[in-house]
Amino acid sequence: MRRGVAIGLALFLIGVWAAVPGRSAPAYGPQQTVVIAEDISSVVSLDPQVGYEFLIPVHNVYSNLVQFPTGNLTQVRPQLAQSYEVSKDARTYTFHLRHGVKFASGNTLSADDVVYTFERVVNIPKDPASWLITQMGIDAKNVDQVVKATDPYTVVIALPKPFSPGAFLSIMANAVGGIVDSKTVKSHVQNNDWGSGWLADHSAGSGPYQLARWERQVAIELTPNPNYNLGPAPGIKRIVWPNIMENTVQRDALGRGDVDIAVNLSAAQIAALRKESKYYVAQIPDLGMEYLGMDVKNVPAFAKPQARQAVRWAIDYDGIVKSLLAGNALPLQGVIPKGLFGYISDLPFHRDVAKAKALLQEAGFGSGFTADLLVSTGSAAGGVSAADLAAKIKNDLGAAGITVNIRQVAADELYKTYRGQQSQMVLANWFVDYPDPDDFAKPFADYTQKSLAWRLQYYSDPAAKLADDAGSMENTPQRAALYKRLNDMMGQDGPFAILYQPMISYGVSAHIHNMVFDAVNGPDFERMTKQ
Amino acid sequence: MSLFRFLARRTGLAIFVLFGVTVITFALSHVVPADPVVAYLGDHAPPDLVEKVRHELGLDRPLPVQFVIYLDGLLHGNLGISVMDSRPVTQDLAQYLPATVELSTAAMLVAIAIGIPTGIVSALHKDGWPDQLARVFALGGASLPVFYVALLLLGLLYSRLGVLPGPGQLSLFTSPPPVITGMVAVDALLSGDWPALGDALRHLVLPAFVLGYYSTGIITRMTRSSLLEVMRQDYVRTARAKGVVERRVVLRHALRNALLPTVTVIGLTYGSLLSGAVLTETIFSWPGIGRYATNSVTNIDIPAVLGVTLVIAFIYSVANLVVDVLYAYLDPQIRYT
Repeated sequence: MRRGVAIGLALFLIGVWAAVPGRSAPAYGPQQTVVIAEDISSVVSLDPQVGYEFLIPVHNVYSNLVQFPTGNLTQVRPQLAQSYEVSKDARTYTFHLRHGVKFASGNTLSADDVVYTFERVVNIPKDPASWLITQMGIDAKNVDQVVKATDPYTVVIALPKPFSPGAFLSIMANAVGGIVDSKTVKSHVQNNDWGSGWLADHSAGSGPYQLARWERQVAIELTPNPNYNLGPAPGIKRIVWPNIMENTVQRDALGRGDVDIAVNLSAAQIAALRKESKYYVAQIPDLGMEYLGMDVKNVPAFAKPQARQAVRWAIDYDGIVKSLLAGNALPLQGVIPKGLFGYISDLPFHRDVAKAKALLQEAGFGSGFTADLLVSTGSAAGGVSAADLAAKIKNDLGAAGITVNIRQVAADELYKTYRGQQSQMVLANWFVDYPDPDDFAKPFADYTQKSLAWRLQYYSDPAAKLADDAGSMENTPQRAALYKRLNDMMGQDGPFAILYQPMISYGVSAHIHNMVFDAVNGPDFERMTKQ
Repeated sequence: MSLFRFLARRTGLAIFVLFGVTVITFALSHVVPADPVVAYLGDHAPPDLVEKVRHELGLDRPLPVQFVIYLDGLLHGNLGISVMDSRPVTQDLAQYLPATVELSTAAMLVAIAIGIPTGIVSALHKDGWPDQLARVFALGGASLPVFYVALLLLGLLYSRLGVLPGPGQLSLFTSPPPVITGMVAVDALLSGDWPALGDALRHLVLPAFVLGYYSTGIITRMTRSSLLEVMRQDYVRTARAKGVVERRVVLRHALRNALLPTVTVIGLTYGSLLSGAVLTETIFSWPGIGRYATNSVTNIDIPAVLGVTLVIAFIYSVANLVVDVLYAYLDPQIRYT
């Protein structure tokens, strides 16, 4: 009996062994490979028209009509488009495409691919990224009329409603505007999914790289696009993001030389890395901010602008940035972060308890008031514990006479309450969707967008109008002036206390040179070298 | 009662348990004070998109209707589509379960390989220094938090000494073997890919020890106490009186009976290893079902949560059943009832 089982098992093993194909060795060695330790466990799709969580691979695999050069997110430049024209009313955009651009498949890029890309984003069901395009008034019904190929190398986009030209171009430069190879994608469509099932873990782009594999929860790997002809072939031949969730393990792997860049290090780990010569710290401001929101209806005191102002004067911004964030953040008090057009470096507020108390007196709440503060579990922007930050704010506001009850809940629960206009005070953050000031000014100031201002029931028509007016302009000094006015208005009257702007800090091996990166495109692998 | 009837009755009971688990999980997932659609779309999604997607997902229908639709799918072997990654839950489970089975099985083997001999040595040297040493070791397994042991051992054996590899199932410069079972080491063995097999086994050592350490402690203590108990029995004295060598008395006569409670512990902890590997999987970047379950819960991905719960409940039921059957095999006095 036992012998029979053993012989059967041996025969089975030999059979399987014979049937399985041999393995292939990786084509590129460590010198041509850059390994980036990052927590990529939340990635759900690498389809440019669907993906939302982790877009750096997407930016390297797809090309767009226009792009932001790495490190400069204030002005787009043509990429697939050789040139483009904007009509006087900023509603019609004509893109003249480069000739002879090849996708990784070898297919030639044409205006049909651009049209198909737009059709995809408004038609894919349950698409988290679709609102970037549908907010312009483009939907499944009108996309044929709005986006047209007038000849194989000309695309005309005639927007059905006025939309900020700065925002439009920056969305075109965003991952969602990555042009897909329509022939390849169409051959993988299943059940009307516009190829989104296949494109989630495959690629069909014309960027410098192609997706070699994405094994969910394990690793994302890029290798060069053999047909890339929009620039010189990149020196780095293989980019791998192994999914390493724990920052301690990321630091260990950097120390062993198994990874070249560690992305999710804590402020303390970053500080320690600076003292070691084998590594360096690459740091830029992230495009986002941590803020304190005050609901102007649910808390009677916050209906008074003086009470909101009192909160802004009661907070110890310096202490938050220097002690809590250990320098992993920049001071920011306006609604547009550093790195974007329209950023204003003014810091009008500092901790002044007497002034805060006087403002409360003026508001008719001299004996103080009480409010619940919603805080999520986990980290706030910049890696500090959200609970620690909330405790600091409770302490700061308490000194001015405002009693804060901290209610710590899961992020999903926080957002349900907040989005349902049920909060009193909320500690939250806002990060860039597309690098244009419009992506910050409108959520913070324009209640008609049903975003942050609306959630806090701050219905200010002047603020909404200013945000809208500034949004409709190109990056001119006039636009900058409008954002300055909006910033001042929100600082005086708005329902937010902007706390700080977090930094992105990478721990990088000294073997990596020419490390240039920004908050949208990620590192520039075409320029990067490894020795 | 015959073995067949026993199995049939237990299977019937298991189906009842699985149905109960489905009802409770479904109800619990819907009373969570959070919005699954916002969790999926992200905080920036405008309210009209949220409502559109809520409709597309069928989450705007009455709860009983949603449950009946789910049950209907279940009866047809369909666990639904994961909201997060838009793939069938069965496909996700088929991808993540093998990694956890591989890790848990390795952990169990490590626990048995260390736990039983240590328990025997402890019992034979009751209150001597080997026993004291084993007690400290076992106590560590039962009381040290998994993440602490994991980070400590990674820091020492990987980061400092470099004798064992870091996180993941394979090194980045080892080509993965072709997928046959989804268990990397097994696939490497089946395809005769020796470099990959060596690499996979080296990657398995630390997480398997860390995950199995808790069970090792319990198995050690269990083996020790039941062996001590058995060694006092009359038949052991008889065996000795007959002149049987001590080694044979312990291994042949005493251990077989002493292992009975240990088998129960092994069966039950195997179930908990499969479902409780999440911390180990997180620290060692192991793409298993524990990670999938946590992601599903934090994203309120109801079909995925239900799928994982069902699978884990199923594994527990099977593990219990196997323990009961093994019991009767090890002790002929026990009858199926």
